[in-house]
Amino acid sequence: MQELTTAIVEGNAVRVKELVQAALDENVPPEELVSRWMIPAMTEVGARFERQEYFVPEMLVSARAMQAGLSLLKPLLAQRAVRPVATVVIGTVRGDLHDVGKNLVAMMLEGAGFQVVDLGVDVPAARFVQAVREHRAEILGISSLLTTTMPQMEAVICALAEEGLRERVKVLVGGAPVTDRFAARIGADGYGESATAAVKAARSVLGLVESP
Amino acid sequence: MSPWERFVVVARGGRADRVPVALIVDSPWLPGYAGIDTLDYFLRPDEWLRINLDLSDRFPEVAWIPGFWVEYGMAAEPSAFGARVVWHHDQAPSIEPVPGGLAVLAGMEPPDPQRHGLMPLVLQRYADSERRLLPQGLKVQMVAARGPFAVAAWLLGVSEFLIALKVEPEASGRLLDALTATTIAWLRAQLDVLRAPEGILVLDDIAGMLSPAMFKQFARPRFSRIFGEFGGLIKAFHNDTPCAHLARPMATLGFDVFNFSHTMDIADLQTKMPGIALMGNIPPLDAMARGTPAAVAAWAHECVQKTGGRGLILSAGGGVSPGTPPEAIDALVQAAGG
Repeated sequence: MQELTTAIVEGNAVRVKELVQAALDENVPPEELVSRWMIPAMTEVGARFERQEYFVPEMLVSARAMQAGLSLLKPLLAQRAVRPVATVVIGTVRGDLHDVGKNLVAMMLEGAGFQVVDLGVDVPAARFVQAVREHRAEILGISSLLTTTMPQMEAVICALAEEGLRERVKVLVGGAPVTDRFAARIGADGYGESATAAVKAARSVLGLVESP
Repeated sequence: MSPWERFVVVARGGRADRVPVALIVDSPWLPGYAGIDTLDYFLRPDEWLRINLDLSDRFPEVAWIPGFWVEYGMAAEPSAFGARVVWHHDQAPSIEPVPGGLAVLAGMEPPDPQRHGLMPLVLQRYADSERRLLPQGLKVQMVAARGPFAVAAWLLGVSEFLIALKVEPEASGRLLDALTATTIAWLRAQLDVLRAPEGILVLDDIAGMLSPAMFKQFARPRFSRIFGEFGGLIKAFHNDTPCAHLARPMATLGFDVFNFSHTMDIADLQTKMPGIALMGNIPPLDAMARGTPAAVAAWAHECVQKTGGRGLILSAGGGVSPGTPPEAIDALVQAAGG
């Protein structure tokens, strides 16, 4: 199964699917595949990103390979009622069509055992609010790549407060121009400088680990 | 010296009578600043001209980059490839990826700026605007275009494009070649309708996300070709991603001025990009839009102190963000003179 980890790290989506299917055919439990071989692969990808051995394209290709494997496993995990760590609603703010950071964070969170509801890009504040309510999300992740759309993040947080949901959901923000100072200023609960840091922040705001 | 003259002197490697202040302004900020509907800003040339002229009156010590910018957000180049443009009253238009993805786009010829998408409208408006500016002793100083990676990301979607670079390098390269030709032709067409433009601005954030190896393979030859086409003009490059890992290869692309992210250290960049004027790097939101004038001044003084004022053009680390108050710009100007 080490080959599965390697295939994810190297971003070989076709091979990942083959290996996952082969493992399932041999009755390897899906949760073991995820926790023992796939999550460590994405942890390694995150580590390589932090060491500047991997950059955004390499992370995206690895995350896509992870997704290819998870597409086979998700129905089986659901059948076995494996509880996710938490539910995260995530999206890129209105006016911003950049999806890289958001996609990476979504995929890394899934890789870490979270259930992710991805709203896509150009998401209005009202839609974030609706999704948080509908999915009973514990965490809302808001992304923006443009300095011109960053103010929309605060609009989303205000909309949550107006709907009485702010105390029920932890808000994480991220994106290339976002800083921890900006996150604090708009009243976010956490900030992830990278996709790996976002996963740590997600666990942190839930009280699962120390702050990153 | 006028603000533009200061900008030119520093861009050419000289020293001005004071540190220049230059700001990139466009439709994400200007309509809100002027208190009008974004569609009115785009569709009413008289209003557009008045707002841009007022800007120079209100802030006489600022060089506006590119200045009198005829733009429809990011829409001009993608529209020429058939991307759907979605218009809004309170923000620049959104662009939707072209259906069919790389398979369709990799085979497309570069568009004709005289005929395709919004490009002919931009050209017509530039010609008309300059006819009205010249009698006032003004002109359009610079023209602008998005770089090939930025346009590819709009046409395909950012993630899809970056994945395609890894898994379909040949088809991605063909698309980038067509987009490089587009950037050059688009800049050339804009220059040709103006009397005596002095510079070009190329904006491309996406290239900053690549690894050094991918940058060398995909980006360096194409940007070198673009900047190499415009000898004699001032060449400015905007990329406000955190791309310190690419500073040295970027420094070889052939541009004179770099507008970069406030998250990068200006002293580090000055070491890695010798001979290039650094245009930055006040945080556009934390300081310019939401900070106090004192905070703006503190950041500006830090930039001056870190660079010794050499090769420095004070600016935001990126474009001017929505909600930036005039007092922030005043503080920047004041700090530059202090």
